[in-house]
Amino acid sequence: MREGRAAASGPRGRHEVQVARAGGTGRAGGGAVVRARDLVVHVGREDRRVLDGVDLAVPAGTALLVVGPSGCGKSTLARVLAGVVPQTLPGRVAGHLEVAGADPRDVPVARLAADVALVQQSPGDQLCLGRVDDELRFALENRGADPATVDARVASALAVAGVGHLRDRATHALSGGEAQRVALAAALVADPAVIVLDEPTALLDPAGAREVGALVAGLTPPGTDRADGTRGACGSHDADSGPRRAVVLVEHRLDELGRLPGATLVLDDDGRVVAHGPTPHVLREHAARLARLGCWLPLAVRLEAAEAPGPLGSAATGAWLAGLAAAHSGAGEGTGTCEGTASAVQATGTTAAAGSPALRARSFAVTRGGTPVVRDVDLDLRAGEVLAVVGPNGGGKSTLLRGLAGLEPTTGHLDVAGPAPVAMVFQDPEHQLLARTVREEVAWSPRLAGTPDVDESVARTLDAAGLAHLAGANPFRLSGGEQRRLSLATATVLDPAVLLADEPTSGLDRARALATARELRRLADRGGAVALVTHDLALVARLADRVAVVVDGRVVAVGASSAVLADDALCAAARLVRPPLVDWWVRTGRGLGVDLRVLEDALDARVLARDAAPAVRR
Amino acid sequence: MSPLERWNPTVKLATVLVLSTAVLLVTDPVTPAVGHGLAVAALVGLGRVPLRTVVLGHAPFLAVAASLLVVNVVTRTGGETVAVGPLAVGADGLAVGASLALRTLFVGVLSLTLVLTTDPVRLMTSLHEHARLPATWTFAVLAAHRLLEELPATWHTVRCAQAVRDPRRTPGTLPRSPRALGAAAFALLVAAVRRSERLAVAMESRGLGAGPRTVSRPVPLGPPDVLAAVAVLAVAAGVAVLGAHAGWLTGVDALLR
Repeated sequence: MREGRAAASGPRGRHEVQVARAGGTGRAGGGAVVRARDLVVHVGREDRRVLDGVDLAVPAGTALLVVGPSGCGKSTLARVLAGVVPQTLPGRVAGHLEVAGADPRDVPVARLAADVALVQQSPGDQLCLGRVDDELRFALENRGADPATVDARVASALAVAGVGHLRDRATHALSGGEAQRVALAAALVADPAVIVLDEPTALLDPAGAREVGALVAGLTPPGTDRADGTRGACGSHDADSGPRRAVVLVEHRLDELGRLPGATLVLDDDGRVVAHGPTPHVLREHAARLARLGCWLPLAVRLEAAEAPGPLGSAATGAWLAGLAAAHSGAGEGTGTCEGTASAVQATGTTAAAGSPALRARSFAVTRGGTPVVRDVDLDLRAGEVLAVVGPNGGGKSTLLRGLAGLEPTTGHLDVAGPAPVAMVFQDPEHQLLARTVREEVAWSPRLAGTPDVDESVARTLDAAGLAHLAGANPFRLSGGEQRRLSLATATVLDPAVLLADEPTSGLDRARALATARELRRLADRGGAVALVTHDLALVARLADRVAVVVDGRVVAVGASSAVLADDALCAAARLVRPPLVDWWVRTGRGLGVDLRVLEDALDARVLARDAAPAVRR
Repeated sequence: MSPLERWNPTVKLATVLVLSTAVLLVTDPVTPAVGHGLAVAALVGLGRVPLRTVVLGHAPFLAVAASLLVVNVVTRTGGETVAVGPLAVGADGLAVGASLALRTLFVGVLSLTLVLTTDPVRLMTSLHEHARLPATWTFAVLAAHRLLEELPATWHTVRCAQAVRDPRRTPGTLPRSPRALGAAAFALLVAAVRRSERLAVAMESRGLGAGPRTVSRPVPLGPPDVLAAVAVLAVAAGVAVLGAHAGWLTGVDALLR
């Protein structure tokens, strides 16, 4: 098997950048299944330009990774390739575009779907029918498949996606990860020439993201690249009889993928191409730029960009990481803070844990129709701390938060400090909108509370959230990232004693996720108590003082972040899969006295320091 | 599968529609009562639906039936005076009210039969195959069905999400003012529109509407399906003939008295 290596020397570490194949993909002219030249796309009724002069080529049998900050047009690109923009959703697409031999602007989406499959972000939104096998049969019947072959094709597609056992299940009863794998099976069942995936792991719990990530990484079997001509030794697909599929993958969570696509396209905030080429090359050359744009980088790339002596797992690297963290914490609090890093995210440490309870729940249960759905909760939320609530999809985390916010019928004891009830940020910002303008939206709660100087505190909050220039805009017309910032602003404008946040960072790029984390930390440092539901364990390790683990409607563990993350049995039960650096820290780094938060900041600072090179113009 | 589940959904739907229309022409209480009894027996015996489910399924229809009964008893004072407990009411109002109420229950059980013994995908496949409805239409109905199933949960989430914005709220309750409900309805509408947009994209990208489609699990339509319909309609006709002979059957003209 020929694979691109992030580190050319040394044994292959667990976390080095593994790619399906290296080289050739970006420039392979003739055989490209997906090809765009000078693609300019405007979307929406406002005719906003989101892609500007994009060139790309994806040859058959290869995969392209598309990365970029939130709002850079990645999702739009996926929709343009599937013909959804401009046919189903409003938009204008200019430039040369060819997907599976057709122009997706001319061929109806449904007909194009015979060759181009689209897998979207939300698992719940893409299963149309009630049962898993109906869903796959539906995809085949629509393409006029021979009824005699349908059962066999359905079975084999389910098997490839590892969900054969779910064939007769109801689609609404699937977990997020299961539903996403079924959606992938439904995309694969018709043997499309091109598969376009739009952040397929964004909304999944860590284990679900790993499973889907591994499945996505396996879509283009290793060794079928015509550039190298050899067959993969461990490829599960037969390169001769198997389809020479092209894959376009939009994804943030690169560490979850395991093996990255062979080629990478990087877009910037304005939807322009920053880089397009073999993945190891692009990620290495542009590591600092990518970090500055706010993209997640695989740990191997971060390590290399920070000039670590080798891949994670070697003793030398371990010692180097420990030294890096020690030097950074020794450098003092005031230095090394860099825009775009998370220095301010650091917890205030043990003093926070000693705070008095701002919220206290005892024998607490949330009921629905009289039966408890979350039960036996004994939980304190202390002033000055950030508590992360983690656990599998559908385990009751959101319900628990709503119960603590006094929004659901509950039993047991719940004491909340302070005159005002707790504030809460919901998963979907649009569910919380009440006013006609952004300014009115932020002013909503202060007005109801009768706060003096509403205008002043609104102006200050808008400034802090970076929304001042949108004060007069309609909240429903903001972008997804702007709506997230707005909903956090509306919840924090009154400086609540308790803030509950339900997945405030899902689907955001790294810079925006860390900005949200900074805001939550700032609130805690001013004496607030913060609880957030999240699937991002790197964020947990970095932001949270304590972690509560919710499984099947019960809080099965509460403890210091480091203790919970280090508990292997607990992590397995709660489907928590540690990201590489957290895993290293649990196994090795802790023993060396490394503070993970300091280490993360130190790594970021080193990666960004490479930006000093004059290579980047902007 | 129970016999009622095996019955071709299009034929079943047509039979139910014929019965529901026919009972509109009847204004005596006995005929719909007999029909109701037979329908419940069929649902339990041939549909193998637990009696408890059938009884619980009556709840919404009972509410409508009760109000129809009360309205007619109060507004129709003709006929002999009948004592109902401490009240004295007119026999005409009681008869017409009871008839309308029982008719509602009968139609209610017919719809329960359709809902409880029919797989939605089989119904839509059959409507496409046998009633020649376009696939884009039948599958849009299925998708809309899924959307409707989720609406109550979304409605609750939206009400919670908006209620939490009020710093003076009372914990444990959600606001019921017209203004609050209006704002929640608007957010629900936006959510439903966004959701249906994504669903439309999903269905299109599964190739719905690409051209001629095949059916891998055709729903059979044979002589037994038609015979079952004929048998059901024959029983219904038998009940009507019996009523005419026994003298309890009355038609629409009774309402005008």
